[in-house]
Amino acid sequence: MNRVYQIAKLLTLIENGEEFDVSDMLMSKDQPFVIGLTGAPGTGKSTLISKLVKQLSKQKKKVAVIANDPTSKISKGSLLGDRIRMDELWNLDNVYIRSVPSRGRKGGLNYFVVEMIYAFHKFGYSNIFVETTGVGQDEVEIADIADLVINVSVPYLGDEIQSIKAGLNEVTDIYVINKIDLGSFDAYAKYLYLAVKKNAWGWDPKIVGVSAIKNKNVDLLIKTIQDYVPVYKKKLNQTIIKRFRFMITSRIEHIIDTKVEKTDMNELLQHYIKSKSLNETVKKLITGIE
Amino acid sequence: MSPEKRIKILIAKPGLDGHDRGAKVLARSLMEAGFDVIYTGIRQTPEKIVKTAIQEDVDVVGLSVLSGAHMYHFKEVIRLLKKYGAADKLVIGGGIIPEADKKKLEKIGVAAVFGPGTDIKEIVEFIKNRIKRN
Repeated sequence: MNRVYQIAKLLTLIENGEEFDVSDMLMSKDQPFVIGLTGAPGTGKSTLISKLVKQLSKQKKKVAVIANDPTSKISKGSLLGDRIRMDELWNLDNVYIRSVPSRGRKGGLNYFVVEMIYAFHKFGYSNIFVETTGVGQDEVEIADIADLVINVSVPYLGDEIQSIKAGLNEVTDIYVINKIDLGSFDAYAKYLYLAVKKNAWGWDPKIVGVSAIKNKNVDLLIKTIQDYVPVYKKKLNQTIIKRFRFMITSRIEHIIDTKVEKTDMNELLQHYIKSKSLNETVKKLITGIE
Repeated sequence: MSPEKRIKILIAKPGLDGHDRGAKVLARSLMEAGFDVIYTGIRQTPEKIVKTAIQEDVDVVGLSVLSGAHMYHFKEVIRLLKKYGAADKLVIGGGIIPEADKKKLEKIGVAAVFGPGTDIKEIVEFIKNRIKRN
């Protein structure tokens, strides 16, 4: 239990913006395997993670889950409800689940999610699932932090036009059509195939139909994840650079978002009316200098 | 960077009790009051609740019981929090709990018991007063 406390407290510090040095871990050969799950709200990401983690934990691996949920723009509070779908994992000593509020950062991920990944890694968790908040088409940030992006959808979600659009489709490594117990796999898969394009590392994204709640084809998904392992190893250097970039840009965003939050917009508007320059106004916002 | 730690609350329903509307309304209301709320739903065991509270590093554990088994569940949660060295967490309760039991619960370490009809503001104020943040 002592170690659980240590991780719990460390994650709280990180979540609240305190610095956590990951430089040595970032440069190490020993890297965590980060599986990102993303997709619209209600597609079954949390339930699917629960099934995947249960399988992986049988191999005695230490598995962590970082489950992001949205923060209210109005109250700044968050309702974190992903854990409810992972009820079957509670008694596994090698599994750690942490619910994380997005704090309003775009992309469905908390500002400090990479630091959290390495905090888990420091404590020996080598397989880490990161679940985004429910997202739409444009939230591709998950590809900057995860080794493998699983895009979870459900039957009848779109047509061929959706499939050829830019965005999440371009960074997906495995498409999952969940809830195939409720609707046809083919009805959506026949369009989704149009989204599939061999990536720069020679990986052909796969489409897997599952029913997480019925535990159907979860083993097939695990096999597909295992097939992906050599690809992840090939692109590791690039992934590390991406994670570093995410940490840097996230911190910049955090500073600016916090600043905007604390700024009296009325006052700033007056400054704009006077200066007639948005660039000048932004300069004042950031530097405080008129 | 100015970190701003928000108060984190776990809302759980121990035991065989499916009456979760109150807990859900409270979870949502506490979110609207600016707290981080983790909702784990119905049919939780005390052991599960305590492990979750520790993993999530919450400040407050809120238990809702409408089945009549509150004495057992509250006692167990408090005992396990102590056993695992997490007695610093504030435990509050709600549900259908007789006045006489409220006193007993407060004696064993439940900070407050809020019955049906409680104004959400009262709960919010209570939590804010007990968990001080600079």
